[in-house]
Amino acid sequence: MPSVHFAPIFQRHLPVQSLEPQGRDLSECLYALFQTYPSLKHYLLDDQNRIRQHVAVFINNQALKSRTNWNIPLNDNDQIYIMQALSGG
Amino acid sequence: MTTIWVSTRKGLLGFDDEGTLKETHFLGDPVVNCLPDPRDGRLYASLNLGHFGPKLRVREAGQAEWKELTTPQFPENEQDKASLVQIWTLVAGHPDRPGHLYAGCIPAGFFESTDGGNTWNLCTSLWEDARRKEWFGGGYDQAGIHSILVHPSNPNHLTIGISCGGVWISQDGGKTFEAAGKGLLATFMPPERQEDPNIQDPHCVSICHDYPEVVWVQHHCGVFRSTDGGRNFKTCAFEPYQFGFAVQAHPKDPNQAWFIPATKDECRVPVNRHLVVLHTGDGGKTYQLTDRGLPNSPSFDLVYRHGLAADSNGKRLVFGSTTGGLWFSSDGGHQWQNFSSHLPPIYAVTFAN
Repeated sequence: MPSVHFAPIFQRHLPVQSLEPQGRDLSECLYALFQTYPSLKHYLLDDQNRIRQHVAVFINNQALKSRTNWNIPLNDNDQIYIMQALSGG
Repeated sequence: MTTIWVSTRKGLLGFDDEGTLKETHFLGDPVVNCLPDPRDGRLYASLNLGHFGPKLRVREAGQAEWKELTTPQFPENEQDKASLVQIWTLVAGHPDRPGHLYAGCIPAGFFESTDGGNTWNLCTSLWEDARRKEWFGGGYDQAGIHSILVHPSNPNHLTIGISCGGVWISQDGGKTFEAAGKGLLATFMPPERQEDPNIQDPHCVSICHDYPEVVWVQHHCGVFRSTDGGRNFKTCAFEPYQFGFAVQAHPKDPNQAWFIPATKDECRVPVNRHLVVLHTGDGGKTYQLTDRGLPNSPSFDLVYRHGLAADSNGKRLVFGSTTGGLWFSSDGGHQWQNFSSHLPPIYAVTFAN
């Protein structure tokens, strides 16, 4: 299963930890995360279910290009990094 | 014991009325405003985290821990694709309606909660009003609701201020609103539109608690006063102190109000860089300026629309500036005492007993 890692700033607000959610693509992984951490959803997504403007998601070393298209297939050894975009600081 | 809550770019600060910093919460996080609810002792804080969006937290009376509440949320997949940018003002409902809260937001949605902020309902009649399409941002990219005033003796009577969308009144507890604010004048608009109530920019709206038919507006283009609950306004000739953001009506005297003027409108520093408090005691016919206890040297302190507050008697006042100055008065604004000049930019101040 892919692994998800959170930037340390999340610990200021939510008790999230790295984990390996079930999911064959990024969309399934994100919704599995929201099952585990319900409060996380509104930290990552806006009211229209878009990834927030100042949140950055990387799959391995590639930044996610779209805030709405998450139908990106994942491999078991993929690493997903969720972090703050410096633009929002 | 009185606490003066100061919402800042770097946290929520609690001062006593002698100027001692007693409490610090959310250090490092932007706190837009807070609401000490006099009905149940709860303290609400509206945050706007740079990366993770607007958040709403609550602390129960006598407790130390904060709990996260749901924020107001705009409907999914609607035409505007709106998303909450900020809870610009959070207001307690009438004392007869415990648990009722009102949130004025950017974009300009009016939300009501009947359960202490656990769930929120958007006022769809206002949101879907075709006139909303003519509103525009005032200081932010999108229009927003910054003032919500609950009539002291009529829980269903609400007055709201929108930048830039005018003054609106509800007679049914926020289910529907009607445009008010006749007499406001937007000189920044083309001549044919300057009196249009729907495009006015009332920076802040404040009512006199004991005479709620008296409503004061610090408008983008001057100071206005209404004696019929905000339906009709007359201008107050305060030249050259017409511009500013904050207004505080005296809670007991309908003829008194305070303002912190600034230079209009591209400059936005105190007039002649001399920080003063403007007070009127005759319903806006004349004014007096006070600078006792305020800086003698050139000042760049701008006071935002929620940056001035009075206590329930109108004796104690406090204001905070964008350059981190905090001043307090215990004599109705005649003499000011500097509590600090080194705070983060201040968004809002309020008294809590």
